[in-house]
Amino acid sequence: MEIVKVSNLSKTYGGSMPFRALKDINLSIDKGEFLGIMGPSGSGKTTLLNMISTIDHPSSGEVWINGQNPHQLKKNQLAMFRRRELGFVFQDFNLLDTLTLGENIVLPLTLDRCPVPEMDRKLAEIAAKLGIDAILDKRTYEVSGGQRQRAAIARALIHSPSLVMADEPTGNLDSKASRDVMETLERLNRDEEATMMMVTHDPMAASYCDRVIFIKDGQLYNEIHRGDNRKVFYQQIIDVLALLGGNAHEIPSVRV
Amino acid sequence: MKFHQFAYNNVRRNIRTYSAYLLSSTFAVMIFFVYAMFIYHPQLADGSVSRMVKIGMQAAEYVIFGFSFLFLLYSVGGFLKARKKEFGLLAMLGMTRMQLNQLVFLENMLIGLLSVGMGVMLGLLVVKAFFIFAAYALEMPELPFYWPADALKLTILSFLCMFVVISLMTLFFVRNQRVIALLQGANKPKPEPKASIFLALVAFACLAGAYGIALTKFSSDTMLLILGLAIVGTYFLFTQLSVFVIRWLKRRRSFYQRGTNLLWLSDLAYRMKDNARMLFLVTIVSAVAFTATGTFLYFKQQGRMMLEVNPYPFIYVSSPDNPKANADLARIDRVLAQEQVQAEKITFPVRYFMPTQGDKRVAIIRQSDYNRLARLLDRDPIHVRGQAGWLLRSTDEKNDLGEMKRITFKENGNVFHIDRSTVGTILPYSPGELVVADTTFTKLAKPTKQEVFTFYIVDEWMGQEPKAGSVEHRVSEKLVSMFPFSVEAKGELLERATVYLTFKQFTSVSMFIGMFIVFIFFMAAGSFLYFRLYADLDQDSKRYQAISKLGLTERELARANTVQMALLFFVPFIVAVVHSIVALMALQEDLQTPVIGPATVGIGSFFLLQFVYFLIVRSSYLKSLKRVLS
Repeated sequence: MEIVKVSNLSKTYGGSMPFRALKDINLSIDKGEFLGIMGPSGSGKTTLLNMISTIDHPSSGEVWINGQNPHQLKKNQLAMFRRRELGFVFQDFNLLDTLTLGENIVLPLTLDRCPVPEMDRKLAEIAAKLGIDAILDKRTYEVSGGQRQRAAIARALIHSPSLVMADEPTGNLDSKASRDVMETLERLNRDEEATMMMVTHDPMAASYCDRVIFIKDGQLYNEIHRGDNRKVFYQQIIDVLALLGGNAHEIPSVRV
Repeated sequence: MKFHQFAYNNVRRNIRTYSAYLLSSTFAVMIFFVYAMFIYHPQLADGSVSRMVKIGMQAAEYVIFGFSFLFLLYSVGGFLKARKKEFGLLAMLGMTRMQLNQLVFLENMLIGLLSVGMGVMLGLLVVKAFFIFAAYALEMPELPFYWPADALKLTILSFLCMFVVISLMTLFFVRNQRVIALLQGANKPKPEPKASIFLALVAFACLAGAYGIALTKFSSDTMLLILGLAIVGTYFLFTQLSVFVIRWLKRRRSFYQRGTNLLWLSDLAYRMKDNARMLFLVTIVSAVAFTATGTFLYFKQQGRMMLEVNPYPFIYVSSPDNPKANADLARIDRVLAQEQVQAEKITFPVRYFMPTQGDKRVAIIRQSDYNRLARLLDRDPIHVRGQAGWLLRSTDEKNDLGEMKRITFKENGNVFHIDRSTVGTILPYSPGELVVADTTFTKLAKPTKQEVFTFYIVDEWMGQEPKAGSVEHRVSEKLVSMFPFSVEAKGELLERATVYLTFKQFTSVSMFIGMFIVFIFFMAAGSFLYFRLYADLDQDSKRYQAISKLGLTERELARANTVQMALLFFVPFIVAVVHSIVALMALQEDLQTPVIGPATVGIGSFFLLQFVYFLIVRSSYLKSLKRVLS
C-alpha cells in the first residue's frame, strides 16, 4: 500500500534568476518501507524532503500522504496534520533545552492533549525500545549527541505517525553513534512497520535503507534496492555516488 | 582595520543589536535634558516659585539621574548578555582580556556619545510641547523657548561621566568568565534560585512585619524599617514563591502536560532566576509609583478642603480690649473701597469654654449672630432657648463632640443640653461651636478666651475658588502686607486667597514633578519588561521554529506566549497594588484623611495604561515571532 505518492513535483525558487531546484519528481513509498534519498550538495534532496514534510510549498505537482494532500490544508489543519501524521528527526536534533528528554519525547502527545497515563505508557514503551529509559529525566545538555538523537527518534515515533522523515540524522554524530542510530531506525522500521524517509549523504547510513533514490540537479538519477546483504548494498551505493561525481571514488572499492 | 575601527564597525554594522540599548540611553538623556531645561527656565528662576519648590525640583533631577543610572546599568547587562557568544569567539581567536575590555569600553563610549547627541537633539524637539503642558498643569503663563546653555552643560557633563562609569562597570560583566561559558552564552540555563522553606518563611515574616508595623506604628522613625522589610520580603517572595509555585504546578502532571502549558511553564522554570529578579524590580518601581500617585492626589484634595475650612474672603479677629480695632477695620474698609469691592460686614463676639470631656475648646455664638451670618451663607437659621444649645462640629473624624448629649463647662460648671448636633462649623479653623440663645449668652461668665469676629462677605466671591491675579488675590496681598503677623498684636487678619493660592502652587508644582517622575518610573518598569522579552526573542524564535515543525498552530503559539507575558506583566502589578494599598492605609491613618479613594483612581488608570501596553507588546512580539516562523 502506498503511504506517500509524489507526482510531477517541481520547485522553482523565484527572484530575478529563477532556479529550478526540483524538476518533475515522481516517487512513491510503500507502507513499512525505509527509503533513502542521496545526492551531491545542491542536488535538491533537502528541498524534496521539505516538500514532503509540508515545511515548504511546491511550485507545481502534488504530494499525497496517507490519502491526504497536505498542501491543500489550512494553516491550523496543517499543524494538526504534522502533529499526527508525521514524525521528524533532524540533523541538529531540535530538542528543547527547557524540557527534560522525557518531556521532549511526549511533546507531540502533550500538544494533542493526550491523557497523562497513556502518555506515560507510550513513553515507557518507546524509551525501553531505544534504550534511553535511564536518562529520561536528564536535560538535553547533560547527555551525548547519540542519546539526544535517540530521544529525537523517540519523539518522532511516539505518536505512531504514518511517515517518519529524517534529515541527515547522522550528520552531527561520530561513526559509532551513527551506527547505533541507524540500527535503531532499522529495527523500528522492521518491528513497528514504521514508514521512513531519510535524506543523507552518508553511504553507511544509506545502506540501512530498503531502497535508495539518487537525485542529481533536481531530477531522479537512479534507484537501487537492497538485497539480503548490507555490505553489498553499501558497495553499490558507493559505486553510484562515484558515477554521480561525488568524492566517493576515493574510497577503495572492496568486492565481496 | 585598526582596533578602534573594529569597535566602530561593530557598532555601525550591528546597529540592530545595539538599538535597544541605544534607544534607552537616548531616552534617559532626553528626559533628563528636558527636565533640566524646565528647572533652569528663566521664568521660573526669577523668584515666582518659592524656595521649597525649587529645592524639590532640584531633588527630582537627582532622582531622575540616579534612576537613569540604574536603568542603563540594567540595559547594558542585557545587551552584553546577548553578545556573550561573540565575545567567546573573539577570545578563541586570540583576543586578550585587555583588548576585549578595550573593545567593550570603546563601544560603550561610542554608544554613550551617540545617545547624548541624539537625546539632546530629541529633547530640543519635544521641549516646546513639554513647556506647554507644564504651563497648563501649573496654571502659569506659557513658558517661551530659550537657549538652554546651563541645562545643556549639565546634561552633557553628567551623562558623559555616567557613561564612563557604566563603561568601566561593564568590564566586570565580561571579566572572570571562561571562554567556554562565553561561547555557550545564553544557552546554558542559570541554576534555579535556591528555594528553602526557611527563606520562604523569612519572606512571609518580612512582609507580615512590614505590613504590621505600617498599620499599627507608622511614623517617620519606622518608615525606613518598613521599607527595608518590604523590599527584602518582596525579593524573597519572588525568588522563593516562584520556585515553589512552579514546582507544584509541574508536579500536577495532568495540568503541566496538557497542551501548551508544558511550553510556558517549562520556560518560566528555565528562566526563573532572571524572572524573579525582574519581577522584583518591576514590583518595587510600580509600588513607588502607585503610592506617590495616591499621595499627590491627596494633596490636591487638601487644597479643596482649605476652602471649606475657611470660605470667607477676609475676617478680622480681635480681642475685646483691642484699642486699635476700629482703626484696623477702617483701614480694611478703605482698601476695599479703593478696589471698589462691595462687602457686607458682620461683627459679633465669641466666647470660648473648655468642656469637661475631650480636649477641644468650644466656641459659644449668640443665636442672633449666627442667624445673621447664616442668612448670607444660605444656611438654615437656629432657634434654641434656655440651657439648650445647637452643636456644630468640624468634619474631623476624631472629634469626640459628636456623641455628646450634654456638655458641661469646666470654667463655670454650666451645663447645656444639646438639642441638635450637626457637621459644619461656621467659624474658620474651629473644632466645635455651640449656638445658644442671646439671653443665655450674656449670662455666661468666666470664659477661657473672648474674641470679636468681623466677617467681610463679598457675594460674588462666595463659593468661588480664588483665582491667581484676580481682584480678590490683589486685595488679599495688600491686606496681608498691611497686617503682618505678630504675637503681640491684639487683632489679626484672616484671608483665604493668598493662603490657598500659595498652597495650590506648592501642590501643583510638586504634583507635576511627582507625576513626571512617577511616569518615568512607570515607563522604566515597562521597558524592563520589554528588554526581558526582546533579549529572549532570538532564543524563543529558535524554540518555536523547532516546535512548529512538529506541528504547532498559531493559536497555540499565541496562547503559550500570552500566558507567559501576562504573568510577567500583571503579577508584579498585583503585588505592587497590595503594597501601595497598605502604604496608603498607613498614610491615611497618619493624615486623618481618606487617600485610598483618590489612589484607586490613580491605580485604575495605571492598570489601563499597563493593559494597553501589554496588548501592544504582545501583538508586536507575536508578530516578530511569526515572522521568523513563516
